Amino acid sequence: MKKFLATLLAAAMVFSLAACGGKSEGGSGGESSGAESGESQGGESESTEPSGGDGGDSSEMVSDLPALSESELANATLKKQVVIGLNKDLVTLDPYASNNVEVSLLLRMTHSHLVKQDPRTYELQPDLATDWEVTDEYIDFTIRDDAKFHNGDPVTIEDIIYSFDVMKENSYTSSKVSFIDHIEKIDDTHIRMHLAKNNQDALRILAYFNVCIVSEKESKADEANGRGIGSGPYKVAEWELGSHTLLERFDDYFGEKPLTESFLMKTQPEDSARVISIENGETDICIAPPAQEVEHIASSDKSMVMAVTANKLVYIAINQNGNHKALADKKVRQAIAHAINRENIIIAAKDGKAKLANTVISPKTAYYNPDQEAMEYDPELAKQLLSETDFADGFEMTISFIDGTTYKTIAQLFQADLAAIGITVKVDPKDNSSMKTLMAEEKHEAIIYNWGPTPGEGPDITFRSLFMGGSGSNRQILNDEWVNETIEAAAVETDEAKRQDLYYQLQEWMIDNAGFLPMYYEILYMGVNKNLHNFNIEPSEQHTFTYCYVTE
Amino acid sequence: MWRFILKRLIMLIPVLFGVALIVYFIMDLTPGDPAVIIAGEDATPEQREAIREELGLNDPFIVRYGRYMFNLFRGDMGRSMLSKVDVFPTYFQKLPASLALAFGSIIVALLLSIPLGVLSATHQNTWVDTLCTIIGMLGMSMPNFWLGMMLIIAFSNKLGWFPSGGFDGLKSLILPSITEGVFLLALIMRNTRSSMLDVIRQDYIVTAKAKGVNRRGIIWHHAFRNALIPIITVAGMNFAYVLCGPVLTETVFSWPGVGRLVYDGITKTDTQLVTGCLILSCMFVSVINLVVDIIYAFVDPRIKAQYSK
Repeated sequence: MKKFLATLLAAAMVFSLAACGGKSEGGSGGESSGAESGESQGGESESTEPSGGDGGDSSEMVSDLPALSESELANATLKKQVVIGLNKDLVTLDPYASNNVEVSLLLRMTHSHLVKQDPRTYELQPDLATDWEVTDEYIDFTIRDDAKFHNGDPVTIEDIIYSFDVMKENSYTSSKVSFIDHIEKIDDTHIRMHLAKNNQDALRILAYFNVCIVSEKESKADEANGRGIGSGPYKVAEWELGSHTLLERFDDYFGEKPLTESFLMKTQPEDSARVISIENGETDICIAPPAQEVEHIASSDKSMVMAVTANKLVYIAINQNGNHKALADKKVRQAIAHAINRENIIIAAKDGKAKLANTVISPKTAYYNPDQEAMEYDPELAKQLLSETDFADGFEMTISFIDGTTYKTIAQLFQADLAAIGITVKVDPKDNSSMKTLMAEEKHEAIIYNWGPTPGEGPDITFRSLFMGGSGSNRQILNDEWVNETIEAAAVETDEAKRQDLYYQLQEWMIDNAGFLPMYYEILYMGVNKNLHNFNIEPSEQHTFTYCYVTE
Repeated sequence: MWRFILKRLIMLIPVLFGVALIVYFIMDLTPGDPAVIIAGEDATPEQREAIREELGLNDPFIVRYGRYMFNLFRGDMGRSMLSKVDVFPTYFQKLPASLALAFGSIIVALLLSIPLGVLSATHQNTWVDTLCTIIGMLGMSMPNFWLGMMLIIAFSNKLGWFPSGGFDGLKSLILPSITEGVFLLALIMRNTRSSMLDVIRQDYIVTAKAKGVNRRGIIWHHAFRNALIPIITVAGMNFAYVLCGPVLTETVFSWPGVGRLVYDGITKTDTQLVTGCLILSCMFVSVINLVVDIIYAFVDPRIKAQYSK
């Protein structure tokens, strides 16, 4: 009996160990590590655990897979369907009802814009507009006459005007198109976009993923599904909430025809299951693999890892216009900034695999100042600064964040660092919905959050969103006259040097104001089929899959 | 019998009322403003207010509940606040996957648990009984998300026999059914064992033995049939549980079932979606309970006689 039980237990252990063993023996190629799953948006991410970093080693990793040469392509057999494993569900087909990364992946394939950006160089390219002329007061566009929606209807000037009218009303797009006053139809192929205010980033904003054109007829008939009908190279053939989205090649697309016949976007919220799928070859692309799984992907004979320094900046924002008197004091905020040991945070929260942030914007944002220095860790100076305020005896404050391992670790270290200078911090993990409500009602004291702009979109969206008085993403509830005026001035400044100076001044001001404390920049990972071609990983997570293909 | 069924169906109406009230009330208490989720983070206070007005979120609770119930009686379960999809078809889009998982897991559980439970009871206090008890303990105590991952690693990643997730044919059903079925297996096996032990100690079993009925006849014809009622109860209850959505198993296997739909709705404070789905789930649970009651009648003539009164 005892022998039998011992054998049984041994068998159970062997099964468990074999199952846990994974494929770690294969190594990772040395470079891969730390990415954690996250729910990301274009702009802000509500992630509980954003994508991880590798401490700057990403340059050694693959971020761009070139296309095959014509002769190679002629001899290759392409997979008809490319399968993408998404970490989050595609919750809507309506371009104007979400800023989520998942929606951006869809819209980049299904919808057309007036202009688009090259996914590698970010150069502006014609899309629905074949030509344009920019003045300080308006932009004239020539619109192509051969574009068709997926339902077969032609894309008309009326559809374009209607789309922008809806965008101006909609909360997800209104701030982006606020520079537009109205659009005037000149004739069937020409429009004049009258500007409410000049904006040097106007054309780049028009290439933003959800500043896209929908069919007026379909949109009015069915807001939920009708707006999913675009005029891009792929059409939505199937969409099941919480399950999958099937995209099929649209044969009447006006532009270059993609090689892959269809894309299947599968929702795979469980990290390990998503990773196993790419290792098994069940999927061809694995979005946001977690850090500890990257090695497994790299060691598989079917998959490989791509990585790039992400645009995502993780920061702590302090509400300086709330009810907390101490936090309204700039010296107190500066004391807090000097009290935080950010290097420790990177070691503990990211296993040392992230890049210390030196300023309040991402390195991939235009006019990023590489010479800007964030406030350095100096607890003695922090104590001294605090002693010069009315709060020398310390005070209590709360830091809120969306519950998850990484942010919880940051919050706990923040709590410990501030305790050392006499500030008592209450750690307040929240669910996604409660956190958003707290921030929207501006009732927070300090929060941990992140920002990830689209490269090439220009600095205006970032500065306007994060620092402009009244902006929904202005988490420090800043409303400073000089800041507001400088953001406006920078947006319309045509002299490059002057514009750079304005943005540099803004960065310096933000660091000194210490309401927005930059922590670190993330590294973004992706697991892909080894036979994937013509694809580059996009630092903002808004990848363009349209022209990628997998060879058999 | 028909009167009994009709009575039970009529009783379903106040039950659904109650469920709608409770769910709506709980969702109302949930922290988080749906308008913030719908409008997005860049929305101005005016835009959020406009959404609140549009959806009637500023109205008192009783007005909102009354409006919801009024629409419900007209056959309109509303739309998801976030995805803008109709709740009713969305639920039924998910139902086949949930039904498949429920049937799959209950089949796995019944096929193994009944023989093991009977074996355990008929070999009480032997090594067979101990082994079955260990299996039962393992099944009950193993977290199903862990078991699911282990099965994926072993049978999908290592052996490549089954897909790691998704609902795509019979092959994809095997691993999630085993994952969910193992817990049910343990539960039903323990119930079968205790139920069988109760029955085989009764006098009529001794009488049957004294009359020379063979062992197999005693166990399966005389004892097992009378031990079935508690087994059917447990199996029915758990079938309903799996149908309503085992969120962890559905998440591990990327299973597009009802559970994850409701879970996502809760995390996004999508009251319309959650309330609608839970009302429909409640309806199915009530129907399953009714079916279980009807099965009782076929198993036990005494119960059938009671229904006929």
